[in-house]
Amino acid sequence: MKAGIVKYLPPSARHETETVLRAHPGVREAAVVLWESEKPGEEKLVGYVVPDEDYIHRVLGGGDEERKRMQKWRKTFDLSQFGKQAQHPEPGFNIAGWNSSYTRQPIPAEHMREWVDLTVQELMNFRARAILEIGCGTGLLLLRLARGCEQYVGVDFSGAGLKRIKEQMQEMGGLWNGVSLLERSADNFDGFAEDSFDTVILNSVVKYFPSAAYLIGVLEAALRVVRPGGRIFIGDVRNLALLEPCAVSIELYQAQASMGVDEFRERVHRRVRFEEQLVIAPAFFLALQKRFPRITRVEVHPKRGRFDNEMTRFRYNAILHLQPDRDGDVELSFLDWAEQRFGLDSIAGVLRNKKPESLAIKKVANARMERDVEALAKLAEAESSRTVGEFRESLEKGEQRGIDPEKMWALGEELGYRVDISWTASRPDGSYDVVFRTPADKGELLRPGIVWPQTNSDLKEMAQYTNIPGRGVLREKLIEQLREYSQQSLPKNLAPTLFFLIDALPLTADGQVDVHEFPVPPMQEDGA
Amino acid sequence: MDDMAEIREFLRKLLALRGDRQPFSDTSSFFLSGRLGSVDAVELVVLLEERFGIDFAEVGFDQSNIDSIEAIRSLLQSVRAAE
Repeated sequence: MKAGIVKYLPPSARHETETVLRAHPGVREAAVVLWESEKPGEEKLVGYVVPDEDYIHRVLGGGDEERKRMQKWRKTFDLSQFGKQAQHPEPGFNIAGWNSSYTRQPIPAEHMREWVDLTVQELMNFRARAILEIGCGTGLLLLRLARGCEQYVGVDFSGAGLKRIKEQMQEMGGLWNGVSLLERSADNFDGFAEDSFDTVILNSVVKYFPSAAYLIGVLEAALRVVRPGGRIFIGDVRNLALLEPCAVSIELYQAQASMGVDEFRERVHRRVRFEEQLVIAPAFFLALQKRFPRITRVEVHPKRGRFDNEMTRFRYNAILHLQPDRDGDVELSFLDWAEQRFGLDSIAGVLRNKKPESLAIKKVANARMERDVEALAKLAEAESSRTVGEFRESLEKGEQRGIDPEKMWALGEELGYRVDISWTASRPDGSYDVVFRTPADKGELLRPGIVWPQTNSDLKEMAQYTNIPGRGVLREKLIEQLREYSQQSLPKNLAPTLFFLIDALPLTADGQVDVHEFPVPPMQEDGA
Repeated sequence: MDDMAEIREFLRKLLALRGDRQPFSDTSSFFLSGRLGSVDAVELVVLLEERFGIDFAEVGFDQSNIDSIEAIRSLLQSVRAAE
């Protein structure tokens, strides 16, 4: 792609165009530059706009847009239940619609089975009697847990999913006393009394929420219906701290070896920018605790599982406990994993030989996504002339140093230690903190909490702990608006054919707009 | 505008909203290639339901049936033949 050459517009024309652009409610600052390609006569008028973020989010992405997004997700679920895969599933195991981001094919059944089994196991430890499950989907949890409860209310906004649950209940036979299914959205708590459930489950569903504000609203309402001593389980949450490594990982899997590194970088960037789901930093839940004192303890741990997939790599479970009368959390002194040069063998050695009551280690490198984190770091420095194939090769030389968290859990089981693993520190390298404690068999509800290492969770706005789903689309909508608006409001030769949204106008040392710092437009493309 | 031209224009706009202004042919893959996402698939489904009367609850849904202009054309033909 040939770079264009800046050609100045006459000052009066430039002034007219920029004044008109600035009058648009979505524009805070604007500059226009005429670019000329090396081919004579080929020119392109480009508008550089610093958008009004408030306009983008409140006007373009406000309440209506949020409702529409929810409706689209509902429809996505309905559609997943109209396919062949959903027609005659193994009863209790309808995994239609669970597709891999890597292959875009269904996630292998054995991976899903592990995912369901481990989630069910974790929930069974709570010995819940009255469960509200928001987003019960196709019943993967409900059909396994409901019979152990006195009451199980399953809520979902997809009628097609609820219909599939009813079919499976019939096929599985027996009585389903105490189970009720409600077709409604997650924020509808009508008819649920205060303190009426001991457990609220939101498993693999908050990622379909349209915004942080919506999530906070649902959790606030959920906190009211949970009785003291209970908990809210938010499962399979996508980790914002790992959104970029996740994007690199998926794009690296999909890209052709012949693709250039620049195009690859652009793809990664686009995947992050156009992310449609709500992705949340673990620190969000710590900040939530500060806002809602009813929450007495927050646990965030990476997903359990031996299979390598996007759930075990990039997702976590968060548990908000409401236990008013329990003992205080235990303060432990954490050893630094890298400083101590710990490996799985040396940890096992310490536990075996010294038999400490507890061993706490922080910042353990995580083997699950270590490669992806490394790829992200190397991508920033990779030379443009290289191909994805060459880039992949350069990664394979790296040595693995991290430990898969599942190996820590297994080690604890082997040596009679209870293992707690935490992601509350929200580190962008996926590293985790681990505590081995004895006795291993102390009941789930009795064991004291741990004061985990934390990063600063004092951001002013809760919204800063999540991405903004559909943000890329909203920005493109502004660009479409600006295109139409300038065609209507400006003479044809002064209406920009291409727009860039930028964070700030680049300035020279003496405070003038520095046109040479603007992103260069592609000249071959027709800009239409 | 004929039906397929309308669908092409609709897809062009969906791609533009993802910042994708590259051309596409009748056999270009939209969803399985990742150019469009599942929320976009729903937009297309709603168009096909509302504008062309396809009931996916009845005919079943498979993303490969709407993955390209060619695929959509044969979907429309098979649904119309069944009517």
